[in-house]
Amino acid sequence: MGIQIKNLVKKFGDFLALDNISFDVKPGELVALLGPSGCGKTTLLRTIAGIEDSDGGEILLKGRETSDLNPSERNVGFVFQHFALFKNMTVFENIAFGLNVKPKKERLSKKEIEERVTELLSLVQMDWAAKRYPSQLSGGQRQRIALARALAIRPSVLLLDEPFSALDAKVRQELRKWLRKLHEDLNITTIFVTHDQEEALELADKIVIVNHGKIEQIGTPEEVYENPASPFVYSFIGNVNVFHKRYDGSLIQAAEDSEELKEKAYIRPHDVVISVAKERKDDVKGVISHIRSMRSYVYLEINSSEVNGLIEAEIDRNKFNESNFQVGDEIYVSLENVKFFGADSYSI
Amino acid sequence: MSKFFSKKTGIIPGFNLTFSYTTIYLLILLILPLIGILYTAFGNGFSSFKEIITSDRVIASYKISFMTALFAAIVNAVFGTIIAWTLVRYKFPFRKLLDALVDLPFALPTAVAGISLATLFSPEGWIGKIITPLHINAVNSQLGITIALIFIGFPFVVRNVQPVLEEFDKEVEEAAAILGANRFQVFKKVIFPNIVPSILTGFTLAFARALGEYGSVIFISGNIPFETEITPLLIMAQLDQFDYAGAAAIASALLGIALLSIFILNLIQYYNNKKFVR
Amino acid sequence: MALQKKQGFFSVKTLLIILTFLFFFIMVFLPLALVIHEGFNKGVAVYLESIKNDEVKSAIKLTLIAASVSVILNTTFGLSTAWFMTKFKFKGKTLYNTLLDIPFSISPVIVGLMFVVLLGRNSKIGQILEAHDIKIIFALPGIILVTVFVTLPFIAKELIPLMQEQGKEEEEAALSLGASGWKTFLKVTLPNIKWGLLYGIILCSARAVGEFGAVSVVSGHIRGETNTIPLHVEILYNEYEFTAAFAVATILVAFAIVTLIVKTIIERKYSLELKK
Repeated sequence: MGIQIKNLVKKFGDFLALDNISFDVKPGELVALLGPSGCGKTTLLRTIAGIEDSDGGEILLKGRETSDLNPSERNVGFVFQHFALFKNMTVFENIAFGLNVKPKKERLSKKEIEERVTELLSLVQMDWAAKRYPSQLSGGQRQRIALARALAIRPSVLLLDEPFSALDAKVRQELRKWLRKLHEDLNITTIFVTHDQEEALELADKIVIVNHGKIEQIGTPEEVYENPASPFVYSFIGNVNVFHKRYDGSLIQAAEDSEELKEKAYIRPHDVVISVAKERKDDVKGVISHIRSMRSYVYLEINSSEVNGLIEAEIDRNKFNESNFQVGDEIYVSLENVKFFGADSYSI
Repeated sequence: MSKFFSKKTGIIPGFNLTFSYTTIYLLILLILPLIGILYTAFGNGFSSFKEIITSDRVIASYKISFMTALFAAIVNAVFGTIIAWTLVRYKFPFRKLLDALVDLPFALPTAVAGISLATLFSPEGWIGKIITPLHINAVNSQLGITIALIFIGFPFVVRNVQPVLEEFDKEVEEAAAILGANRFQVFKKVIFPNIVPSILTGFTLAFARALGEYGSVIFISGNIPFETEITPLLIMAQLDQFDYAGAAAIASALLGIALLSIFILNLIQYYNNKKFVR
Repeated sequence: MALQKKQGFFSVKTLLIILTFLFFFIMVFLPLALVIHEGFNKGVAVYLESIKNDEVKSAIKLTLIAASVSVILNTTFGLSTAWFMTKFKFKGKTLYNTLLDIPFSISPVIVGLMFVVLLGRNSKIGQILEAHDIKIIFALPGIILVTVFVTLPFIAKELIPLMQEQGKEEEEAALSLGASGWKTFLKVTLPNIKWGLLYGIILCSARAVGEFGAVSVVSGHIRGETNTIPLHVEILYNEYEFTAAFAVATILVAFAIVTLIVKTIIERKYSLELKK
């Protein structure tokens, strides 16, 4: 009951939006399509739904090739970024829409439709809204209705296009948790598109990272965070310090053009350890140039002539408060868990 | 005057100047003539007024004006919507040209339209030649009047419906399609309800315009009393006989209907805003 | 949009396109073609004769004068109205907007009648005018008056939503920097509304040139003196001078087409600024 995408290609004129995309979604999985704006993730989702045509490759839903089917025939549920509710219909009519437009043979009785809509309204915790119009609801409420509407037709697959990006930060957080719970309850195969790596890391069973119409990496949140396959994935998934590594082993941030460099070194700010004295051979000396308190951690900028640049560090707040560091202090920096990539590109 | 502004806000000058200029302009050019007509209409007393506007020939003209205007407006509502839909949703050769030509009835003097349509549909005319053998008589008949009124009215509907269709949220249509609706269902349940107010607005504008239309109609209608004499023409006839009171009386009745239609129009806008406030 | 896979030849789309073309053919193309055809019916020489005579020349002159004066007056009116309605908190917007709708919904014949009743020989004002030998009705001033009336709202209605949208911050900024009211208007407001203003002027001119019914009532139909081009067309037609009538009509057709072209160009290029 899953999804299989095989060698999917999509062009807009000369522009190649999807370049031979292949991946699988297991039944019941919650997969995130993650990538920067314009990378093709929304195009991919819309092509799966059928509202864009593909120019090559296969889309198998429940084992069935669907590239030739109309969107109305694919039995998918789709939730839009800006809700796309029918503003001339009540909430009830919106949710019932998919059930009301079925051909007479397949249509449920009026009573059955009413039951299912009521059920869904309970599911999304909006029983009270049945007779309201979309214009009377808040953004978060509208999105829940949009979800209920998509689920009404019992789709085999649920597709969400940046479902929360049009909402306030607080509402976004709430709905994220809510979606996670909903997915656990319903266990429906789901793909959602986002450009927010936090959202992907928090919600998804599996993340597909897309860039320039190609897949950069597929993996669990842990996998893509701990073992990024490329510099792009590394920097996209979290914050990063980037250094060049010379042949003599030393690290430098701003390299001269003429210098021969062996590879690039990537380090997460929270893998940076600072101490008063030089603890290890490779420790780098520097001066704290900036301290900013950020809720659960403290953000530091350390100026180091040895690496000819700035090192960013994120220190656990409690640890930092014990240490008593201040701007201007001379400290030593240990760089742990360094990932190396070839001077220009991918993981070695 | 003070009920029009509670307090002068901000530092922008010129309120008194512009407000006075506009209001005096309107008083002299708009209000005064209107009062003049009403005064003349009732100049000989109310019973005389009543007698004139209820006389047979006048009532016949109301009926003719009303029916032809109504029918033309209905045809315009239907075809106007079709044209707006086609221009917005489909790509085809000459589309931009047709789009520009929609405004021709607005730009062309009514007299030119009048003589052109009259000649076109006369028994020897290009179209008249074809339809006369079929016993369809477009000249000196109410059909001819209606055709002329269709000509001058269709831009109203097209130009009102077009923007609504152009701005229509594609994602809402996509949502409906994904939920299983076929194209007819998408139109009927999702698109059409949203364009009804604009169709009604265009219809009302076309109707109001058609009621008072003169230049494009007089050549094709033949102006036969009790058959093809529209009310504006009857007013003209009274004027030619220097019966100012009579003309004014009939005009007042027509004015009343015109104002009523503005009122209905505003009502439609009001309801539209209420229901679809985002 | 890929919402429907197959669009056969015999689809709704084809039907609607055919209907549209049919409608335009009968209602727009044929009437236009007919005017040109009939005008040149008796050859180019006769055509030129029909439009180059003195009566036509004075009709053109009259039309242009009436139209220009109307446009100028209504431009000042439009600017004035839009100014106080959009740059201040004005509570009477609905009333004034309704008043602006009135000229559009009154039959042209009634417009002419209103001014005849008000200023003609039988009215109080008319008698005063006659005593001073001032001719308004059945003379040029009367024609100008009715033309002003029927084209009154065009520029105002174009500017009001535009200036509403643009707000008053720029003007307030200019004033706070020391500019006078007039300077602000000329250097800040006018440049912002120039396309909307031009658009309104185009619409106003087209209507002013083409006005028939109202002018017909007040003009007296005196050839060479109080005939506008549309009236002249009517006279020729009623005298069965069909070719001449259509020949003169081609002048109006040409003007209408030029209007449409200019209008379309402005629309296409500056759709944002026109808030359409």
